[in-house]
Amino acid sequence: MALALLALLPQQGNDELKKALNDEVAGAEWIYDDVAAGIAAAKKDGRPILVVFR
Amino acid sequence: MARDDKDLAELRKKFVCVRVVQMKGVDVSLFQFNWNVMLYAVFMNADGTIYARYGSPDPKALSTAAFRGTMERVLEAHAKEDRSAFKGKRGEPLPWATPEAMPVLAARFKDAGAPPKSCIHCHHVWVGLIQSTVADGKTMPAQFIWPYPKPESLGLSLDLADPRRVTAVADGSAAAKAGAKPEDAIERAGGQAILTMQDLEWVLHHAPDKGELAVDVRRGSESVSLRVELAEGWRRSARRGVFGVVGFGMRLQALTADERAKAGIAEGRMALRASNVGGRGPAAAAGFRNGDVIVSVEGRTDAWEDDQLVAFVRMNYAKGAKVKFEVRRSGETVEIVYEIK
Repeated sequence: MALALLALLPQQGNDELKKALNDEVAGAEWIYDDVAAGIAAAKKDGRPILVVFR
Repeated sequence: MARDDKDLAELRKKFVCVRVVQMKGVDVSLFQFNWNVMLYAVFMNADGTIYARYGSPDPKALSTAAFRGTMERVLEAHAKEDRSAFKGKRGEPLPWATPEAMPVLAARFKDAGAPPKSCIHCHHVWVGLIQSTVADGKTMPAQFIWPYPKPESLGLSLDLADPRRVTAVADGSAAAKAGAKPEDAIERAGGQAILTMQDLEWVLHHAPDKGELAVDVRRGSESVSLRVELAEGWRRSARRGVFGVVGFGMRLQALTADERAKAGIAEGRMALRASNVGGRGPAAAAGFRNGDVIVSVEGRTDAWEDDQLVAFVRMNYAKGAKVKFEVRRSGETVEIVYEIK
């Protein structure tokens, strides 16, 4: 029963923000599913890291 | 509206941007947040310092303007060497390093097949954490029952565009009694720098069930320190209408005064009607039926609401405990034993 609850949570989010993030294509700007790579890049150039979960 | 906000695009270049699509392999001790959402952002330093959190189950609470403001504030914080105000933003390590290490999720996703079925998402992590905690023989903490209380729980209304700015203080609220005023700018809470509303929710999530919370605000050119009392029950504003994984497999609703009168249950006594008792769920397995009115649990007859009853059971009884309920059913009192599994 409890595992079935995993499917019951409603779809939520903000369409405007999702579009503004422009994060739907992995590549030059967005690293996909690799936080370690993000940390390594940030250590190299000193930038802060933005991690978006969605 | 243009697909790509130009200001946001310029700000993004100042960050290393990482998108996490699924949670397998993610360090959930590092990335602790309200996993019960479909979009969340964590801003951090490469040394693991968390600067800010941003996200909400309420889409109306999110905006590009607020996100942009968050990015600007994070860049200001990143430029400073002193990061002591961000220390508390890393939570205590969880018992499991990654979602797939949680026993409940390991079992569920082991043979799930190829993506997308095998993908673990944020809301899975929340359910997995709760169920794995119970399976581990532990009782639930208050944070599982009332997660991430909103600022309104203290009586604070904040500006969605700049959530450090107080727009209103509810009369008689804890914040009012502490001396908070509209136009105060929250700088720190619980010793942590506040850059977003979710930063404050993080502080509240970890605040004591009873005690005091230090909130530092800027009022004009002055810094003012407030001591906000956290009275028993303050978390209840974080209650959710449906309890899902922390509930018992049924919905509970307090009887109205008329319903009490008809049922012969006095005011000030427990009276919670069960509904949505799922056919194969734990409540049905224990013997609950739709329409049962719970009148006591382990001898307690307090006039609780649903969250209070759930909290009493979940915070006091662990796996294997057999919790005794009394229900009214068709004019009779029936005992039901619910085993925590």
